[in-house]
Amino acid sequence: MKLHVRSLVLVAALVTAFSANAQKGAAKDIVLDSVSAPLVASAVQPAGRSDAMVVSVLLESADGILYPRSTAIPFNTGDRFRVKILASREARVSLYNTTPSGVLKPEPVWRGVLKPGQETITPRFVLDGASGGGTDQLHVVLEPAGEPSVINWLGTWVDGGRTGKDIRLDEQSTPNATYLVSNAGKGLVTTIRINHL
Amino acid sequence: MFTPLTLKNSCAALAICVLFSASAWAQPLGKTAFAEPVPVVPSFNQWVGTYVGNAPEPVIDPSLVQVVLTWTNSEGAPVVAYQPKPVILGQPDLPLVGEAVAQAAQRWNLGLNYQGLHVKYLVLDARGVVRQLRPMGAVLLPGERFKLRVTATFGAVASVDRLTGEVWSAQRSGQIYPQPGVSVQINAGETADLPLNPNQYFVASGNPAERLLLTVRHPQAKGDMASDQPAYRQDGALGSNYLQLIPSGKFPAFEQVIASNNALR
Repeated sequence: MKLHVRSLVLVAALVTAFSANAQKGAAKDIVLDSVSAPLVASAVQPAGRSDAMVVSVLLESADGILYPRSTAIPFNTGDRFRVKILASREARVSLYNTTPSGVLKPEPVWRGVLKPGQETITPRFVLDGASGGGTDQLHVVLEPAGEPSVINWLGTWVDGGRTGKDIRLDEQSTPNATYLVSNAGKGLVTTIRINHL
Repeated sequence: MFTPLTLKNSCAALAICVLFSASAWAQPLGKTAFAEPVPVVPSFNQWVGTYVGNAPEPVIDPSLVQVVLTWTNSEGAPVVAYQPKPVILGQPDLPLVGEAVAQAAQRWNLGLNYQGLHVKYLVLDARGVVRQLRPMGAVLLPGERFKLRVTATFGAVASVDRLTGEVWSAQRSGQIYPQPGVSVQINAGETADLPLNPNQYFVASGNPAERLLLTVRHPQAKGDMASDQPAYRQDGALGSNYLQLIPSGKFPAFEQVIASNNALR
């Protein structure tokens, strides 16, 4: 009987570990299913499908090769990079900057249109830290559908709105990409940090 | 009561699992009429194994090796500011879908959402004999002689341009191979070694401000007709595989910057 109790404890521990891993992998799997759906001709797009987005920061080398990184990895002054975005729906995407002094600039540094089933890559960026030391933030924004003021919405998000009752966000970063998913049409944000020494 | 797992009830459990799995597979297959998407990288790797694996080494008569294509024979060509098309080191996220997707590894077609390219350096010795195969991520030393071996999943045209200037502000300064206004035509699945003439080769420049640009594209991939999607590159021991997503109505267009070790310092 003692052996059986030990076995039960072991099984319970394994099940707990497995489900923790499964949950950890869930965001990536859900996002990849969502962004792949437009490619499959007869896949019916369910109403109210979640917003999903894959973001990679592409660190550029001198020979023109782009090395994908997640947004969770900090970058440094002078790094040259582009941002690659893949989303589950047609949407506007924009990049906003919060300066090292904490000011969220109202005009985006770049704006584009995402097409489902296609990747969008920004032009090359390099932040030189001219404004002094600290950390520049670049917010990659999948704009919410029908939002009249993206900057107001982003300000709420950056100030902690992601914990609000109407925004639920699952996010997972691998070494090469960040995977995000939230309620349908509510928009998504992930932030790249560039440290100036 | 806890029941220890025995061989007998293990078999029963396995049988139940198999039945559940079978019914789980059977249900979607019965309701769907489209080809399931498949991971693109394994399919393309199989295709490369079939079409590239048997390409013979070029036969070069050492006594005839006399023509050398260097970085510098495009003098007088117009200079145009240039930023390379994106080449990402890694694998794409989206699956392979489209026409006859299950047969892609044997017969790639233009109805698939990806097109692919295999490229490698054939590095030659002083007599012009191939002594090494290298992926495109490998280093070229100044003075090394090489050819470019190219195999595409689509009917392609290929050419080599010269890039000049500082790495982050390069300029395109003319086609060096073949002669300007002409391209090398390569059929789908066939391999070509550039330069085509067995007694010609490129020589890696020692000048850090000089690089080459290999372009392999579908003949219709001009201007807005060229795919605007990034190429994904994976380097193997003996060559590099490229994949590009092709939106409907667009055509594949690959570019690869070629630099010697000096140009990357």
